[in-house]
Amino acid sequence: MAEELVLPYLGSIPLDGDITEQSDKGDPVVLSIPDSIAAKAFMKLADTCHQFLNPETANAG
Amino acid sequence: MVVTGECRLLHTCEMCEFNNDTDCKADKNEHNRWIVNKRMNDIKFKLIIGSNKGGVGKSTVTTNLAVALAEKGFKVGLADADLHGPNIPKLMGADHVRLRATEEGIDPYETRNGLKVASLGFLIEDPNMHIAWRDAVKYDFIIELLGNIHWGELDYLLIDLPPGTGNEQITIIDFIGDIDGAIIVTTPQELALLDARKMISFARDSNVPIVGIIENMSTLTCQNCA
Repeated sequence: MAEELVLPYLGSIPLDGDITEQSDKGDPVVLSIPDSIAAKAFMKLADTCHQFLNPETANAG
Repeated sequence: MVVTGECRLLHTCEMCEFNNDTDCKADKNEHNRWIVNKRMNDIKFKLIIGSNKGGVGKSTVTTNLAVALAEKGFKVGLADADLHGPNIPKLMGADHVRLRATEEGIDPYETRNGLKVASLGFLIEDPNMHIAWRDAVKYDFIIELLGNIHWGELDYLLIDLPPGTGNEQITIIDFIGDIDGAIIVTTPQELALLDARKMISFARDSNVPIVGIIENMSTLTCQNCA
């Protein structure tokens, strides 16, 4: 899909029970279940975004 | 706090370069541009997160992305521009928070890990009350969000857009002027892609660089599988 639109693909976030549950609780999954697949997907996304905006740095943070 | 200017904006006279205590000549539009510009100058990367379509998870993705960036040690702000459905406070477990004004502006809510958040949800008493505002009022709110919130120095300001490519989006892009990137959120459905393509063309037409696409709700993870 990103290819069709000639755009960088930043990654995918799964349809995941942890995300919906923690969102309803008001405790973002990244903080509350950092080892979950969902949280890891968001952390990876943060890296990808940071690298896009700072091409000179290899790793974020 | 004394408001002397024709601009009629609160909180800013003390810090405003137009202000000379008795005879401020700045008109409202001039002042709006000045105050937004002043705030945005302290922010390294200003990003908008949009999809055009509603319900694809913009706010959830934006919230978690903001939290993730803050966890990595960056100074991050999260501006909820969805004034008809300001969901960020609920997502952050901060629905009862109220913001306070100081001489520097309105202080955003700060989470335990240092993420600064501003949303209309913090200013509305009844969370079940709808917002029925015409464009002129929405325009003023966007300027409040960008200009009157005391964001301070940030590495990232993530702006969670409402659905659509209309008033709020145009106002944000117009006032900030040099947005560093747009992140497009979509889901795998053709319907979401149909709307996402319009968001992409809107960003391109507005000269906002596109960081890329996030595919949300892409695969189903099973809670009971190893």
